[in-house]
Amino acid sequence: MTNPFEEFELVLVDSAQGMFAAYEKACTHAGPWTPPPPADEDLVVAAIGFAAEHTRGNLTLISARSVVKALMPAEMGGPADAALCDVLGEFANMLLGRLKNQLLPRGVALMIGMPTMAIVKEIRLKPGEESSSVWHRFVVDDGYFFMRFDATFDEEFSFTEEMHAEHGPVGAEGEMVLF
Amino acid sequence: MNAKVLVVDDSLMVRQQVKKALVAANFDVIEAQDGMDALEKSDKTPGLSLVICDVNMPRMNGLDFLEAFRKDPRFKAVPVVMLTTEAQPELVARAKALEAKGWIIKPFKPDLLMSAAKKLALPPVAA
Repeated sequence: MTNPFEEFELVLVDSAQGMFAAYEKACTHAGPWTPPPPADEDLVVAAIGFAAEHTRGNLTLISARSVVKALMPAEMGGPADAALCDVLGEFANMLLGRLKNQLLPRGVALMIGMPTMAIVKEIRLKPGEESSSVWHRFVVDDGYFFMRFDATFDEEFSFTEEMHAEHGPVGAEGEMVLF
Repeated sequence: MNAKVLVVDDSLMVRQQVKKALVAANFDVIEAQDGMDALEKSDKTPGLSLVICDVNMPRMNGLDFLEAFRKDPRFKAVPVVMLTTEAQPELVARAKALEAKGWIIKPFKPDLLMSAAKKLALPPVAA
């Protein structure tokens, strides 16, 4: 049986790069990372929990204020704290949305929570178990952002044996379906 | 007179991006940050031509908003397009049953949104 944690993790790493590409931002996976992220300046943090049958977890994105500021669309105006939090929270939301959509045809329907965001001087997350927690670092135009993924799986968790397209997403990111 | 579009999303970033695209296409935009806010804003905005609405939001989600919106006879004919990271067939089916006109999966392409708005929006009416 494939390791579901690693499968979720792979989808998230691919999705992070794809999501930034959709915003015309270069993003390169710089590999797993040992925490904590450097804190030369304020950090913006966004965390969202998720759950499905026999699994539950959390996605946390962390980046320096200046990096998130560079990701902000110009129409958002100045880098107020609320706007910076909003940007990273929405990126976290879209990232888990991509994970959900890729898992649907495999019989896993994630329920995704609302993002919680913060701006902090320093962050020390409780270390996770090696088998259920991982950090990744990504290089973007103006620095780095960090993704921590935590998930646990009950013994009963399984993907469906075959892909079921009828349970899959109605379209890909950026697509529109008219009724 | 420009057609009025209600944009409902808890993300300021998404609201601003949608607004930018719609204003460029000569729509007037009213913003709401969740379903409850959207019901209040729609009640105070006669002559809505279109609603663009997220699904996952605090207080009231987009599909519950759509259900409540459709119960008001004033809004029976107002086209609604869902704009969301969700793409689960069951959610899309519920939106369709509530007479939504379309479903766009984030991150959206501004050109696609503009073309959908131009195609679906009701003609503007005097308040």
